[in-house]
Amino acid sequence: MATETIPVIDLGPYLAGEAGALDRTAKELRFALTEIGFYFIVNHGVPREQIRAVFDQVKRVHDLPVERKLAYKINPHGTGYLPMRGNTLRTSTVQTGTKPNLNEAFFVKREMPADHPDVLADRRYRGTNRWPSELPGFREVVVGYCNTMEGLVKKLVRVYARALDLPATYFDTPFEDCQFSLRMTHYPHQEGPVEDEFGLAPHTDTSFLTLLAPNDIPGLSIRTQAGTWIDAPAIPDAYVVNGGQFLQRWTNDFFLATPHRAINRSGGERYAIPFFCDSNIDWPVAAVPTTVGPDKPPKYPTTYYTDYMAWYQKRNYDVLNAPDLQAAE
Amino acid sequence: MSTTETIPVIDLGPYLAGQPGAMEAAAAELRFALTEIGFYFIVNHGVPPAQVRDAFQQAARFHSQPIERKMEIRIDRHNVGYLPLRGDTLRTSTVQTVTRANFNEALFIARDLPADHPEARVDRRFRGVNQWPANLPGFRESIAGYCDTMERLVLKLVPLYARALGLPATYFDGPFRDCQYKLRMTHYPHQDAPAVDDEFGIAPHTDTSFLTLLAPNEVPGLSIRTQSGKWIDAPALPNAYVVNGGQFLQRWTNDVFLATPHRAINRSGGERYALAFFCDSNIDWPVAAVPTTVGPDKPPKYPTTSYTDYMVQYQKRTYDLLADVNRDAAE
Repeated sequence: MATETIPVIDLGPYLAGEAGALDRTAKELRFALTEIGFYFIVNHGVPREQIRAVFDQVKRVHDLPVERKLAYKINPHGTGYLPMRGNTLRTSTVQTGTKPNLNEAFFVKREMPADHPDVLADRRYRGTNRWPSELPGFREVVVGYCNTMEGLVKKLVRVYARALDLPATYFDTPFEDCQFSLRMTHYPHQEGPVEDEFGLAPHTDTSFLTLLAPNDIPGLSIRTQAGTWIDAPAIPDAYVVNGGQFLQRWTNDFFLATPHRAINRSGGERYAIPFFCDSNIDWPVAAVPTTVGPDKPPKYPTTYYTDYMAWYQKRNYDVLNAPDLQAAE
Repeated sequence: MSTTETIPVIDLGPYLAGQPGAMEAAAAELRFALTEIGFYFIVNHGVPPAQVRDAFQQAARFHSQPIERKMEIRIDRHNVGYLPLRGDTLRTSTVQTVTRANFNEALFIARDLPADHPEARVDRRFRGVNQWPANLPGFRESIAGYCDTMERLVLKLVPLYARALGLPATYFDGPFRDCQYKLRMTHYPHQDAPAVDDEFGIAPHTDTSFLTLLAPNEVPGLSIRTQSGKWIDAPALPNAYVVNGGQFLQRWTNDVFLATPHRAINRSGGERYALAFFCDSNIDWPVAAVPTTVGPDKPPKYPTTSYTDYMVQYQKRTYDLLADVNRDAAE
């Protein structure tokens, strides 16, 4: 039986190391990810001030004139500025033929030192970030927030492991130096519906998990297993978490990648900060042992982050199809 | 795919010294060995010859005791302790029908868990405490130390297995934390030309392990069956460990890597001792085909396997002496 309500998972007891809490939390997670594919987390340990500070920085970067932002235009690594209507979700299996998304976003990945071997080799998705030089302090706040998110992911993957009946440490090594992307999105207010124009059109994520920061301004809707679109409530201090196509591959479709969309009808500006996280870029993604067998073969071929994302982004990011960016592919 | 009739020798020196490219080179050799013949030697493995010699001496020392002393620590349901001559029959062998008990005696030692370890306290199967001989001072320290050395070597080897399978080098690090191992300290008395033609020191079989590290031995006795079906004698290479994989390695690799049948007979004219260190992943790690060996068109050949379930079944069939133990309520 599926559910029409996004469950709320209290991480407090687990994070405090209470006896039995890991397995109890894992059971709730298993329910959430098999029945609806979205859940809230509360008592996650992320300081409210840190969340507020990063929202301030997101507003700050989007307040820059567009010419300034375009100086940091998104590159083949997936870092930098994606302008309004810069992407069209052609890969969506949810809905076809939608218009480009009515949002602009600034993407940041793991902050790599300039002399990191992957950076020196200009390895795709392992490049340096593009920091706006006119925003002192922006980098520190955003990098600090990414570190906090990564710390939270490392706590969460143990719950995922237990939810899949695996040893708690199953995902520890795969998530060492995990691959993440912080999308700092600006959704301008949208009036009554332009046909097929969304802030973000219906889609599933690609990620193993997405951590969407608590938001006072609503805008997110998700499609339940019954096919109904429901609005995600704005729960104070609660992160919204969901999985994507890589989670389906890790779990042989045992866990859901639930379609969702966003429209800002608040009358004001809306900012959203999802943190997309995947395993280490070199880790082969295949169904975990508890989801396959001779009678239950893997549904997907073993998948690598780089191959998958290169395919995905070529389809979706119109701005990346400029000739000068093709060479790097 | 050509197979080989020679057991390859892999020099671990450059890899263990951290030389650039050495891991990939050793991994390529390992892949050849495990896909073509299923056995390999390692040299420059870093295990001090004195430590190996000492472990052999402890084996001889243990087995030279009167049988009554040895029977005081008879093998238990954790598979640690003393297995007398002809105490096991390899009925599980897929190599040939085996009805005759093995002509060897052995002492089995596992990771030396303290008596107050949570698993030892609940008497968790295969996680019990060792049965140490009471009257051999220094035996425990020496053998526990040898096991530590073997475990360290395994942890160096598993990155090569990972790379040999096209996986990140750290792939097996998690699974092999607190890995499950057993040291078999075997005594093969001399056997004359077979009185009965199917009596072996150890009958043809494949191991159950992910990998087995057989200590360098001056007294030969091991034979292996190559892919072409021929039995060849493993040469005695000074200071070289013999390494092979077993049924769990097949499960981990969806049969990409071999579990090669082997057997032992001691025709040396004297006593033969052998030290086999069988190593598997953590007891709680589910064993299933790694990502590079499966896909929608190449489904897993084996169901996901748990060490405990598998070994319970295996040992029930193999260890005659455990027959009474296995009927116990604990099962």
